[in-house]
Amino acid sequence: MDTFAPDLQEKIQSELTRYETPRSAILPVLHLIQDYYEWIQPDHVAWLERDFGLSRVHVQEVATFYSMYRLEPCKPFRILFCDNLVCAMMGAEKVMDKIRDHIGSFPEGKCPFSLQGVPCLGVCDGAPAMLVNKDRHLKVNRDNVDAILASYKV
Amino acid sequence: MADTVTFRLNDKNVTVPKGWTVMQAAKQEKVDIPHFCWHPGLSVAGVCRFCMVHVQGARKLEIACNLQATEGMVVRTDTPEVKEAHKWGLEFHLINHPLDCPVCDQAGECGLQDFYMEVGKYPSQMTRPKVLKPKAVDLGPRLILDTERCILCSRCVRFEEEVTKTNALGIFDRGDRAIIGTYGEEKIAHNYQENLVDICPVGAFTSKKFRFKQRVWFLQEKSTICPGCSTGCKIQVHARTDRRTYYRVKPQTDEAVNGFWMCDKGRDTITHLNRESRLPQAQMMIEGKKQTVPVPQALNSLQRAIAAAGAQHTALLVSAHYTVEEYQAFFDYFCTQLGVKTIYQWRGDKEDRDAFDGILWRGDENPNTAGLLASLSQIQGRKVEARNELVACVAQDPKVLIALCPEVPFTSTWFQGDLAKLEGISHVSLWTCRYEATEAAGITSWIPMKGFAEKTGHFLNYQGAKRELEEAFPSAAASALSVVEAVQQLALPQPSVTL
Repeated sequence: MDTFAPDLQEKIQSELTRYETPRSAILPVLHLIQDYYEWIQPDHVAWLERDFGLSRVHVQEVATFYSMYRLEPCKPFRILFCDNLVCAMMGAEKVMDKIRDHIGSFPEGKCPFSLQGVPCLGVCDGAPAMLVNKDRHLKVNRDNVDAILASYKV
Repeated sequence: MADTVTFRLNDKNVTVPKGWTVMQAAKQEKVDIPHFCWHPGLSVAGVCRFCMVHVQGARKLEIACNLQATEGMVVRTDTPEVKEAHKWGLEFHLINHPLDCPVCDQAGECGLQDFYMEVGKYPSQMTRPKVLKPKAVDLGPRLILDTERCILCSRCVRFEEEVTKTNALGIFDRGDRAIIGTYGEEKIAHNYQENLVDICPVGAFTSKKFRFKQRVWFLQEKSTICPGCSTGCKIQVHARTDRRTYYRVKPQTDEAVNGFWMCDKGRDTITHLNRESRLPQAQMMIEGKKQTVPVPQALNSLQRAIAAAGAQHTALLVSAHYTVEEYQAFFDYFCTQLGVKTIYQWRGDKEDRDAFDGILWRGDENPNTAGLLASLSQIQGRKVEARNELVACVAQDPKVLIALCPEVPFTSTWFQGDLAKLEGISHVSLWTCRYEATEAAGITSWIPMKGFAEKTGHFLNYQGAKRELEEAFPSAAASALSVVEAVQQLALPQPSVTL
């Protein structure tokens, strides 16, 4: 396939006409693509230029500026760990170090986890908090984190 | 009255057209407002936050580049608050700047250095290590990018968007990781790359050709006109007169013709002026051998050849690379005084004279086509069109031929091939600055000419506008002459040189 799926093309097209300039639509268009393909691939950026007239440089500027766009293929389990104030006070930094160690313990290319710091998950009472895909985990600490992660198997 | 506004800038009332910004007004009034991201040829970005000014009645400082001057506004550029803002602004820009001035080509003409000396001079308070970023990135045939030195003023991004409309550069990532770059491994390929080096206020973009060649404070600058095409951009040639070496060319602001820019081809028009490619002294074929001779001797022999052959057997072959003043002196002497009737134009056969790249470069790569045609029309008393007349010249079979050779090698690649066609003519005097001309067979004498940066005068560009070569360097080839000087020597009473 060397272009977007037809239904996605339609959605992109309708976004592009919503604003004064097509360039303004880059943000929602990238979200559409990410929702459809899980991540934004270099080909997608090239297709946006070829088929929709958006400059590759402009698209890439937006895609790299915002941390919630995924520019690499997704791991099976995406850990979103809160690194905001309350969780930080409750030791989030150290737990994240532990998760990094856990990730590092897999042979190269075999790790099923990705880790990303995110602002508040809205559960400060359960700080430190993390999401693994759609599962919420509260009061994560250095002692229980390995067990939580171990429960996720590909 | 309604079209202008008057406001107070420091202690002076300033009247400017309505819609002007305080920055534009300050520029006109020669009031210095330190800035990085503002450039008169680009849109306003307002990202460097450095051009802070104090406006009476405003809650906080304003950026002059985006502040429209209004009637009665009172602006000061020298209050303690402004100085404080500069200090912090500068410290902010320097947080991750590598401070590698000793190995940076921009040193001596760098915004960060200049403003540090003006408003800075304090020790940095940063104790954390600097963010490391890609260095010496190859961004194109003429460009090297050091992203650590970059202060993200976005001038280059706007240049790509607004001037060349190629959109090749962007700011990727964000915060202290933000870097300037192209998409992926792409290279910038257009003919205006070195303008990015010019507008970069720091040493992030450097020119591959000029990099590590010379410290800028050793360079002397002279205003002249680019001889690369018929647009006639106003340029500044940078050279070291003590070494008789030309190093680089930069555009000079001329709103009517080239604005703030020039093309990369124009930057190469000094290469042939340096010693390695220069004809240093006059040469002559004496008894079948090429010999270096004093210029007067070569001119003398030319004069005797003309006297022997007669004016009706003498012809002139003229390229469009010389100034109007030179053509006038040349035709005055040879045509009016000596009575030579046959003049031929010498140009490339394959040129696409009307080509235009939409920015500056034009297909007529002769700087003074219009000037030559005007001089020719005047001397011949009829309107003359531009064309290559080499074939007609050879067909006429003159006994003596004086050829004003094209100067810039890359716009006259046909030069060497054409020289071979002159072989049958018994006395050919080449007036040229190019050493390569001495390789041609069948030439009688070579007179060393000055290059465009070594003489004053004017060209007429494609519109017929007068383009003044204002200042001249001493010639890199000591005995080189301008056409005017050569003709003056010819017109002198005969010196008694014995051969």
